[in-house]
Amino acid sequence: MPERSRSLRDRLAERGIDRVLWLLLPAAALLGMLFVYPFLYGLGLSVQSQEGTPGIGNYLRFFGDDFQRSTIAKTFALAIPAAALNVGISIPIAYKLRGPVRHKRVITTLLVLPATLGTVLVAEGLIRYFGPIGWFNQLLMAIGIIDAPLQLTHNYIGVMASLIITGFPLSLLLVLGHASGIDPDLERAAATLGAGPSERFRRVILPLMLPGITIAFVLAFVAAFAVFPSAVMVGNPSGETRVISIAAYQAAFERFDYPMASAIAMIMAALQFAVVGSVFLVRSRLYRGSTSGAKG
Amino acid sequence: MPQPQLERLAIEDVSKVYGDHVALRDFSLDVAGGEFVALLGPSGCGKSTMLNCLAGLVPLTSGRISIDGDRIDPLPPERRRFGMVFQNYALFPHLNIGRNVAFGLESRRVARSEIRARVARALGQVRLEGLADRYPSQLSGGQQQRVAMARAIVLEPRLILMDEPLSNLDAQLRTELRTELRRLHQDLGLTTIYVTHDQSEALSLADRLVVMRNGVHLQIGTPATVYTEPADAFVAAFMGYRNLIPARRRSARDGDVIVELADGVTMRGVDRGASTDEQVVVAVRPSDFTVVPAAGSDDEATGENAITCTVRVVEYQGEESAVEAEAAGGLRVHFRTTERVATGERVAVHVDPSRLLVFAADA
Ligand SMILES: Nc1ncnc2c1ncn2[C@@H]1O[C@H](COP(=O)(O)OP(=O)(O)OP(=O)(O)O)[C@@H](O)[C@H]1O
Ligand SMILES: [Mg+2]
Repeated sequence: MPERSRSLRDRLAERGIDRVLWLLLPAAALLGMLFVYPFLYGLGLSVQSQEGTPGIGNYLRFFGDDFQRSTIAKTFALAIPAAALNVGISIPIAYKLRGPVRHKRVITTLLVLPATLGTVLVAEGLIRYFGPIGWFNQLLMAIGIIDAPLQLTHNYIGVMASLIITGFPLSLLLVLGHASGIDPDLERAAATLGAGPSERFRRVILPLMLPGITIAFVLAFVAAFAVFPSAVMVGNPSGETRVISIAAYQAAFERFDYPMASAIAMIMAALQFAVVGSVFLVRSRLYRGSTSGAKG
Repeated sequence: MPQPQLERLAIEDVSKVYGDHVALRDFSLDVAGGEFVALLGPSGCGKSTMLNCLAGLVPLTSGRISIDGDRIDPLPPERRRFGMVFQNYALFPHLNIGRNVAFGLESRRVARSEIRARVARALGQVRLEGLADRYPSQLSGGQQQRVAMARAIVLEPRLILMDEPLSNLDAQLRTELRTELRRLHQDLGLTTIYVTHDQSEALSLADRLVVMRNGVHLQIGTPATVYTEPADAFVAAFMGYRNLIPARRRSARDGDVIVELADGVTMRGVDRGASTDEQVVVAVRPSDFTVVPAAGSDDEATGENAITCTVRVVEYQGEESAVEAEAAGGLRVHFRTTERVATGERVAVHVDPSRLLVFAADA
């Protein structure tokens, strides 16, 4: 009897199933409650009219209306460049900070601090400093570089700035975490083999950093895609930064059209899934193994 | 046999300081083309630092390094044309073996067809034909070591630097690869600088040994010289003189000295720079002691150059046993013998005066 159960356990272990995995059960149940159920409920709600008649009318209305449909392009126009910039800026900084650097802890703390501020505080700060009567414009005018204040808030620039200030720290931490694991001897080996600094980065460091970079990009994209507070506070929520989450909010809480709001939420989910899925597809073709030159 | 690509590598007064720690102090060494030089010393003595200075991976604090009269120390590593084999091999995990070995050739924009031929030849030289498509993680430690070697020699470097290349391998593989390293060195006419803390590795591989301690070299010489005529007590300890016994110098005659070990045991030995100090250190290899019949229980009655002692620990090692014994005054004596001795037994051990080296006490 004990032998039987043991062999079953061994068989499961061979397939990577182990008793510890049962610890995931509560987490899975919670995920089901918090995610799967609302998703299915929303999906059901989205395929009926406000009166309860089934049909895909909500989707047709959304895609048929220019004003609504354009929110998709506006959201992508913010989320993709914001994610790319956040990750793009993180790469050289993580590359510089990956080894032993003097005052590394102070530098990382300063760089990561904005993440603790929260969107609302950042938005307030942006308005105060970069608004028409903020000190930045005042300063430029005082020096005489400009005659009239630059429009830096309540538009695309304001939202982008907010997305970078709040999103960059997370990207940096993710990329840095991955880059720090790269064995420094690999770069030294490349140098003794005749590769100069840029070739070492291109042929050794970047390929080994890529898995971390793609993860950081996906998370940065998802965070930026759902942008709402900054799009309202430092953007132009009826114009160029009327992102898809604003459309969903208005449907739900201004027109009380829950089926429509659900349909928009479903569209958001599908779009994010498409981007995340394609990034992971690319990632699965990259090298993802160990980042050290020694046998583990 | 191919000719070495350099005539003379000169390291002159090289120092390296980390903060307030001196890792290398005025280190000078000349290496002739085709030579195999081993840097030997305990952990932290600056061996890797010296090698990294040569490779250009750490900047010198002062001093100069030149090859055939041209200074190379200002050059970055990628322009030195040296090959380096790292302790953990540092193979690129995202590239297969073929691409790993081809890495340096690709950097040099060598033609594709030539790359293929040279990679195949290098893999042949380290006996790894047919593994070009594997990834480093799919190889054993010994195979990875060979790939690291192939990656360095494929560029036909003028100097090969190796930092404890065998230390991650098991004992048998280590002896096997040791022979291969020496074979490659000879067949390819390489000039090699090899870092190790293993004296048997250094003795068997090198044409010349550099024994280091605290960033300075204590002795430079052929393996035979360093082995039989260590310059001081520290080098002696490294060369297997396990018995280092503090003693007092009594008298000297014809290069021989009479020393008194603890509690009136006097012995005769060779003066190895013991100068005229009273405090000296006596060095004897465990294998240079022979067990002689103990003359009863009376300590002083044993013959010349012999110590009576009580066996404390016996380690069985096949042919021989390694024995730790205790003589009068708590003196510990290590010796090897083929005779059967038992713990607690009283024995006397004798050493020929030519095998007992007397050094200055404070090395
Ligand atoms: N980057 C560094 N910063 C500060 N001190 C260092 C650095 N690298 C080495 N050291 C110090 O310099 C000394 C020599 O180091 P090195 O690595 O050359 O020793 P080693 O002889 O190679 O020892 P091992 O056999 O353990 O590899 C050591 O005391 C070490 O602590
Ligand atoms: Mg070392």
